[in-house]
Amino acid sequence: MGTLCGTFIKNPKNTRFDGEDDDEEILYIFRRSLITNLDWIGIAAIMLITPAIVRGVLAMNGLILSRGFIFTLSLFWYLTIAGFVFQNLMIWYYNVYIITNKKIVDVDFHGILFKNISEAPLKNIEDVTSNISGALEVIFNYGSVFIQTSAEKREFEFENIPNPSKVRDIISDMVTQLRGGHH
Amino acid sequence: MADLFTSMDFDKILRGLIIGLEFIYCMFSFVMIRQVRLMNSSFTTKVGGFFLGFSRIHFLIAVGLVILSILLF
Repeated sequence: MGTLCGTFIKNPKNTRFDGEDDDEEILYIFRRSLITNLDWIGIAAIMLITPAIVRGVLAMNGLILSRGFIFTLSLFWYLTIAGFVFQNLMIWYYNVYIITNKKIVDVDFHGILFKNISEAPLKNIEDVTSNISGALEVIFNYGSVFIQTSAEKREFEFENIPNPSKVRDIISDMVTQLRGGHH
Repeated sequence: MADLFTSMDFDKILRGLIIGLEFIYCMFSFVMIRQVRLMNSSFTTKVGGFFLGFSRIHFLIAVGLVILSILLF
């Protein structure tokens, strides 16, 4: 369950990512906070109750459609909802931020047609900043972590992850340790 | 307005439109299988197989729905 719904996973088991070295070990995996999924869950809930409302409106206006037509239309509607939920679940599940003993990795999927993976060695990290802004972020303790690097990609953003202050501290400690305890 | 909804032409157009949408949805569900496979290769976990299985079942139901609609309409 931890790996399925987890948003802050330490030392995950049976997990690999594209480009992982043989001697590399995944230390942390972060995902967007569960609360950030509320928007599409709300849309799916509205979509679920829509057929009942439409049926009521049609009945009130005396419009009668054939049973076969209603059956296939309903099936199509519920399949669309399943597809919508599944797609959003996939995007949430596979958009991960990974910290290994060597580097940080940002795996991004936007929609079903866009993929972007960025990585930077820990030794190239220069500055780490965490940010919590807004009522929901304060209440549910999630926010963003900005990581400045001297690598090709200058800035990494771990968006809407839980406990950003702790994540900032983890990364800072790892970088400090890698540099022999000196900032 | 009621005449428009009950006319035979409107009925045929509506059914054709729905079959067309279902066909487009089929293609979308096929792309979704490819995408889940791509996601699995980028980030592999224990539940990846389950997601791939679900996407395949989703595609099969979408294909079945198009066939069912053609038969029933």
